Amino acid sequence: MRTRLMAVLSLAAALLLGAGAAHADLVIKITQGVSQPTPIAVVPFAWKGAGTAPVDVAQVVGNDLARSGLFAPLPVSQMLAQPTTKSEVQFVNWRAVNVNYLVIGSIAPAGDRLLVRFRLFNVYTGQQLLGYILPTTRENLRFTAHVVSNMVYKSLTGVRGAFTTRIAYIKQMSNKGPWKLIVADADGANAQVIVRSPGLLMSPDWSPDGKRIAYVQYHDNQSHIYVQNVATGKRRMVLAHPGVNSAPAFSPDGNRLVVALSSTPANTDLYLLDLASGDLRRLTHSAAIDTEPAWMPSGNTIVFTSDRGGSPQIYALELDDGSMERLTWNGSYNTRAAVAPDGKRLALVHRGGGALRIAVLDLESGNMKLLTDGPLDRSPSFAPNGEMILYDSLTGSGARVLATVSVDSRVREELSGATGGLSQPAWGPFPPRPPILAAPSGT
Amino acid sequence: MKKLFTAAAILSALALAGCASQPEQTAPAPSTQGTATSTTGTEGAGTQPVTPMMGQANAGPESSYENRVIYFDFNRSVVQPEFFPLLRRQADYLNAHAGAVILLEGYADERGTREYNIGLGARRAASVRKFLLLQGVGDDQIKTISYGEAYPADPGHNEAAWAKNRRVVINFHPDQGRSGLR
Repeated sequence: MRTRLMAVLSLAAALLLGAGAAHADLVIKITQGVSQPTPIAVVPFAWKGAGTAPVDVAQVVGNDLARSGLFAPLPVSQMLAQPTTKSEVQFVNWRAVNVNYLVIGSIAPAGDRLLVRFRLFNVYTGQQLLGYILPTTRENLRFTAHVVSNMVYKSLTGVRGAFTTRIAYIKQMSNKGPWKLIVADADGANAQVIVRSPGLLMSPDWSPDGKRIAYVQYHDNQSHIYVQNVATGKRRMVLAHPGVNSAPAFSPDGNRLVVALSSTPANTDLYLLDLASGDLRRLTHSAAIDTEPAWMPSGNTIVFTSDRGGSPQIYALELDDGSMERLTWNGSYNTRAAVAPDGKRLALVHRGGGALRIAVLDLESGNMKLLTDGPLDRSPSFAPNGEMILYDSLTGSGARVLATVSVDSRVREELSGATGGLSQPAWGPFPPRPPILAAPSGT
Repeated sequence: MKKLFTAAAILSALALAGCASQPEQTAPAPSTQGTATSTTGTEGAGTQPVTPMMGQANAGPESSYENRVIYFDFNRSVVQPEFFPLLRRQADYLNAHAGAVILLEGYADERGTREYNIGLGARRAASVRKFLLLQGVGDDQIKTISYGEAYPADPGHNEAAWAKNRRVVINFHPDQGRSGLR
């Protein structure tokens, strides 16, 4: 896949990607964590093969846990010992440095595979909380490190980790372009340019299975909607309607796109496109701008932005009977909703005091809570575990960056690129669960 | 030259004030068209005008950016009366050159969400289109596209920049691509 993808990339993009499999396109900075993050030690894993380990698994796990904002990994330099097996662990060494939890492990070649063993301990009780063997390959070792992060995170917080997920975003090299559509691991590693365009690129959206991305590309004085296979790079133009072609959003079953198209030159309405048949059904008929659709998990309801009431607000459309309900009442500008994975809340963009900020709307209570400070925070996207919201932001120095905020607003991060302005992040779905073997016994 | 146009625009706006003080969604009422013709005439913007400064025409493919851009208020798509003279000159050119085709590029400032801004840019381009159609320009001479907040004329993050970015640009060379960046 990699060679094929590289072949279609221009030389410049190929140079930019470089040869490193873990090329990081993003620099991640935690700008706010919880006040008392849980101290944890992730000891460097033993490497049982020749040379050095292809990936520093412990470092990847430690960085993942640190990025959650909930954990403070102990620097390796402050570790009194570096055990890699259960028999080597002396809890007194960890109590002495005030660590609550301990992760140890090893990586051993087994034929053409690698076996990653790891254990998680409670330092104060001495209890083993987790112990597993994860079969993998050299190519997938970094992914497996994120699997370890997920398991540790789930064990200690009760919440499914999203460390194995990927994100897509737009990188703009100047105000005149070119634009790139980039897919990267959630920690910014393995960044790959999947579309490079001299014309405007917009609005990436993942299919629910994470295999395809829909997006808007401008060329030939016309906007187009494409659906592209992420792994193969093969793409199909699904819409080039006269006028606006905008805001594609995959249905939960992955078979349809809801899109915003011109119904007249002045008027943008929602349409439903069946990807297999090409059938296009008009969903809204107002003279307003109806756009920025997102699906509720049921697949029966679409939330969208409309200025039919005089100012842009969020509405819900029931596909069964066409009934509509206005959802936002707080302020004169609430737009571009993203639906939480459980369908119980929306992230949206709220304009107030001249600033655009990310807010969360609880659909049951109707309460809206502002999560960010602006001045230009947009394009919210939920992590598939619903814990974090990824969005784009303008920094005080005028840089366009990506940022995350936890839904409780306690944890914030900034993800910036070395070059170009970043925007319109879309957090991909959970990948299929990898194979996990029974807990190892003994040492 | 710019001063002259500004003066003409103000005169035109004053002349229109009675019937167009509260412009609605679209173009001016037909009753204003007489005024338009005479205004255009006094400016010498006919088919063979006195050559303006810089050797640039004030209508048609050779017209300067200032003669091809219409600005809008925040979150609005109403064509303001000060742009009526400019649009009438361009309409005169298009009516005199039936083979000429323009692309109306609609833009928005960054203070909105991107896809909503695409809708807003489309609505602005459509407002200008409707004005030109009412001046007799052929439907097949006008194409529209919305770029939303992309390709800002001014990349700043302040009111002066935003005011320059809420615009429709008349592109007489659609085959040469986007022209919204001056």
